[in-house]
Amino acid sequence: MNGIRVEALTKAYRPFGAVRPVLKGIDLTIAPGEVVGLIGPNGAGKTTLMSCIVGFLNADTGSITIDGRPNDDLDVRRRTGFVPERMNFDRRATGGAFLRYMARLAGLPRNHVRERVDELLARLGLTDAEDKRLSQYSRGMLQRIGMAQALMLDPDFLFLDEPTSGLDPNGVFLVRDLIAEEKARGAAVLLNSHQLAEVEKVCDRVLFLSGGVISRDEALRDIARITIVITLLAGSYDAAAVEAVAGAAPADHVVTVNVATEADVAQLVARVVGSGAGVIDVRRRTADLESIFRGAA
Amino acid sequence: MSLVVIAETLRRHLAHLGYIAALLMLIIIVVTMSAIGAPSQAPYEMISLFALIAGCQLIGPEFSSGTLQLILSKPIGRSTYLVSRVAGVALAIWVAIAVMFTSDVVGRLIADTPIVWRTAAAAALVSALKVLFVCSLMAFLGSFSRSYVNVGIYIGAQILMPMVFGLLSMMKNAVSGEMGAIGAFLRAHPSVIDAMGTVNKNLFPDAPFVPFDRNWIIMLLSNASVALLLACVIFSRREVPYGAD
Repeated sequence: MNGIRVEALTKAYRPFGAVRPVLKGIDLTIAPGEVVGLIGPNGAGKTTLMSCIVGFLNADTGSITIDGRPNDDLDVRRRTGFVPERMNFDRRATGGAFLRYMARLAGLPRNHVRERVDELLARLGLTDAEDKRLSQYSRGMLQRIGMAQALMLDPDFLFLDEPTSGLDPNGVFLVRDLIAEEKARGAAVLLNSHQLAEVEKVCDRVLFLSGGVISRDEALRDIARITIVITLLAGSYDAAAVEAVAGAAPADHVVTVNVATEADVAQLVARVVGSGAGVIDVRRRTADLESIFRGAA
Repeated sequence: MSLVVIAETLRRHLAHLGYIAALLMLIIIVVTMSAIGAPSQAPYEMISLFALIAGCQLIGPEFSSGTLQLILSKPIGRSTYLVSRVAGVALAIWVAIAVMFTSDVVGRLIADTPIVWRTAAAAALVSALKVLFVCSLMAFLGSFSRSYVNVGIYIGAQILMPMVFGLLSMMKNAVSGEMGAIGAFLRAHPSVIDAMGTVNKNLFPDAPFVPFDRNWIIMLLSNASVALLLACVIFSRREVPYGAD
């Protein structure tokens, strides 16, 4: 199975004849089993990019293929799941009726609908809300039922627009688990989110969209680095000796060093202790997307 | 066409409080009119308004609310969806027509007024076909415009077109003054007024003089088909943005 491929995509809006370019030549690929986060400031073009890929908007130039086929191919749609940021449907419909309608639209055979809907309601923790009208659903419940409709046919390609927005911590954990399950199943996932901590937890790779271009495309394992903060006992160490073994001089009895792996952490602490310094505290901090985002935005 | 979409559209209408209220009102009017011996076709005039209101909501509200985007992410062709929506709405109003027909018969039986079966059936058929055409026209307008704006366009055109037609017909006879030149142009090009008349007749057809007039039926069906075809062509390329960055 091929993944999602976008080549030289451009898109401009034309309000009253004025041309406002939004996407200025986007190239990206998402492989099967890969979870890619799309982040960027407001107005960067994230929703426009996702709308183009899902087929709601027409690209001006460039191409979008999903598993080697055009993105508006109905067979591709059959294998695609989409979760909108705000789930909107006839609010008088019950959650169960909504999912059954979505199942039938997705082409699930009638005799499998009931079983699959029950499965998804249970998986998303909505079994008790099956007969409630959507108007009685909270924002978080709507997000979860939005997720349920997207997973109806075990999609190969999943597009998620702020799936954790409005969710309580349990809902966030649930979505995180679902994304991990989809990834393990081999689905290619594109996640558009402002919640950098979530992106960091679930994505393999992150795309920074800024000013209509992808300014950074980074694997999270490359971004992630470990910062170690070692606090030394005052008067127990020689600053020059510590700097020689740690690569950084202590400041206010604290040495801060970046390392790449967990093994480096153990070696660093052993070297500092070996220099004769008294270590009273060791803390680790993983570099987060926020600092990267601040740099890229 | 998608039976799933048709059934869902029908369900939504039949369960809608506005639909139920309008239907009850129509039943009361029909029973009252039939009891006093009014012609069977009289109450059906209101059905076009019903179709107009239901038809203008074919796509617009779904577009604005974001429901349409959710549906278009499913494996259903845009044209299939649009045609199925039209069929669902038309079917919902045909249900109302069937109820009206039954109410007419029941009203006349209760009041012991004569039933002219041929007239009653012809009125119901004309109404059903008009509904199909109005829904198709609303689908066409809805493919590039929004909800109640479509009603405005439709009613505006319904008022303006005969006025313009009448005005041009009058100006055609002008021979002097500022209108003389226009009159001369219209006399030299009679197709202008003819075209205006034809468009008006096709967009807002009067009921046929003869019950079950085959030509009238064909005209209405072909006009509905053209409107629906154009709607599908436009809608299949229309962008459906959602959310905001």
